[in-house]
Amino acid sequence: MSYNYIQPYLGLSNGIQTMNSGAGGGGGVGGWVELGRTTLGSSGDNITVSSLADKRYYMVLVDCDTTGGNARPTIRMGNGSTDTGSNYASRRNENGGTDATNTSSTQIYQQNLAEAVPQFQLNYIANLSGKEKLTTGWWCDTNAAGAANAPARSEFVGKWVNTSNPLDVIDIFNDEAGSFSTGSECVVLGWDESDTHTTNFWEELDSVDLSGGAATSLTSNAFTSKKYLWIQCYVDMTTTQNPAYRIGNTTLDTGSNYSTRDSQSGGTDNTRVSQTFIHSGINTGNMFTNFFIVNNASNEKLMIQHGVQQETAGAGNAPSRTERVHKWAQTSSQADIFGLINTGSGNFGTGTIMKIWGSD
Amino acid sequence: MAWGINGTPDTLTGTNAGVTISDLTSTIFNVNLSHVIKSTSTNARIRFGSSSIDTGSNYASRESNDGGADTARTSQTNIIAQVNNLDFFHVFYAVNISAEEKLIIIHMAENVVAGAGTAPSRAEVVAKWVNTSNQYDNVQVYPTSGLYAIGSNLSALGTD
Repeated sequence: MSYNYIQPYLGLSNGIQTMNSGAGGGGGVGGWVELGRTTLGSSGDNITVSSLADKRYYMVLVDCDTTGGNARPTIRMGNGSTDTGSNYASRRNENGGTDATNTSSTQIYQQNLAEAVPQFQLNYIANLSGKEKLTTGWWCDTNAAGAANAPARSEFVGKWVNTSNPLDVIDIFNDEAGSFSTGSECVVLGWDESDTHTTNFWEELDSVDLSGGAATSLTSNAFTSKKYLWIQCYVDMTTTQNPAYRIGNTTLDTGSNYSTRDSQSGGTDNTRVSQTFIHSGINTGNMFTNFFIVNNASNEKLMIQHGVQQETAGAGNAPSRTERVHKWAQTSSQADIFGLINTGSGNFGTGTIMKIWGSD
Repeated sequence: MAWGINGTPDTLTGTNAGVTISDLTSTIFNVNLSHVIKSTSTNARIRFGSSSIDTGSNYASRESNDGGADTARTSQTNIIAQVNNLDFFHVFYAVNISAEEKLIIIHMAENVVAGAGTAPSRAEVVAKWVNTSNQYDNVQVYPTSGLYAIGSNLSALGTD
C-alpha cells in the first residue's frame, strides 16, 4: 500500500485531476461527455475523481497498471468525499465461475484475482439522489505478459446504498499490497437528459461497410490512434462464415499475437492463446458485437467484447450470446486499424457495417 | 455521425406502468439507459416497435441471472430483463436495420432489497425482435404487474 498526499488540484489525491465541461470529440447533441479524470502522477492506492457534476448516468473507464505487487481496482463513491463506510454490496463473476457476493462492505468488489498486471475496467452507474446507486461493469487484465497467456475477466454489479444525495465522487481504490502505478487513470463520463452539449467524448474515427459488394473481409481505414476505443460491428452472415477480428498498426497483425477468454451462451470459459486472430463466431445468423479497448502504446491492448448472434431467423429460435475478453500482445505502438475477417467460407453480406469511436 | 440523444427521454412525474420513448429517430446503432424504481410490486420487460409498441409474440431471448445457466425463450411478447422485483438499472445496445431482425445486448443490475446487507442481482441478456419490415422507433421498459415510481427513467442515444 502507499499513501496519498494533498495535491493542489481537487482535494485528497496523488493524481492530477482535470475537470472537463465538454472539450471532446464533437458531433451530436447530448452524447457522453467527459466530466473529469484523474491520472496518477505517482504510484498510489486511490484514483479519485471528485466534484463531479450531477448526472443521471455515468460511464467510467479505468486503465491501471501496478507496482510493488498486486493491485485491485475496487469502487467507492461519495458525496463531498469518498464514503469509506460499510455501505456497499456487490456481486461478481470471475472467469465464468460461480457468482460471489459481498455485503456490508467498504467498497464494491469487481474481482478477487488481484494481479500485478495491467488492467482495464468499464462500468456504468445510475445516479438518482434518493435511490441506491447501482452499477454494472466488466473488468479484464493481461493475466501474464505475452500471447501465450489468456487474459482474465470478471463481470460485476454493485450498489452504494446512500439515498440522501447524488454521488459526486468516484474513487478507484486498491486494497491489495501493491499500488497503482504512475499513469493509472480513471475517466468519468456523464449523461443526462437535460444535456445540450455537442462535445461528445466518443469521436467517430471510421465507418466502413460492405454496401459496395459482399466480401470475405472488412477492414477499417487507418484511423487516428486514441487511448480508448469503442467498436461496434454488425455482421451480415450469408452462409457459413465464421467471423473473427484483427487489429494492428498501419496494417492488420496476422501474427500469433492474440489471446482470448470467452464464454458462449453461458458455457464454461474457453481460453485460446497465441492465435492469429480474435475469435468471435458462435453459430449461425447475423451477429452484433460491441468492443471496448484500451489502446496504450507500451502495454498489451485489452478488449472487452459482448456479442449476440441471431441464430435461425424467427421468434421461434433464441439468439446466442458471447462474453469475451482479448488481448493483442503488442507493446510498441497504438492500434490504428481494425478488421473483420472470415475464418470460414463464403462472403459476408452487403449489410455488414463496422463503426469505430475513440477518445484519448 | 456522432452519438447523441435520441427521442424524448421518459422520466416519470407520477407512478406509471412503464417508461416509453415513442419518438426515436431510427438510427442503426443505439444505446438505452434505464433506471426504473419500484412503486408497487414490479418486474422489468423490454419491448420495441415501429409506430407503436409491438405486443405480439415476436421476441426471443437468452438470459443468465446471477451467473446461472442460460435460459432460452422463444415466441415471447417481451424480453425478460430482471431477476427479482425492486429497482432495475439496464444498459442495452441494439442494432436497428430495417430488413434485419433487431439484435439486442442487455446488461442489468438490480438492488433486490434495499440496504448494504443484501447483494445486488445481475442479468446478462441477449434478444431479438424479429420484425424485418421497419426500423424501430419505439422502445419501452415496463412491468407486467405493478407500477414504477416517480423518477423512473428511460433514455436513448443513437447514431447511424
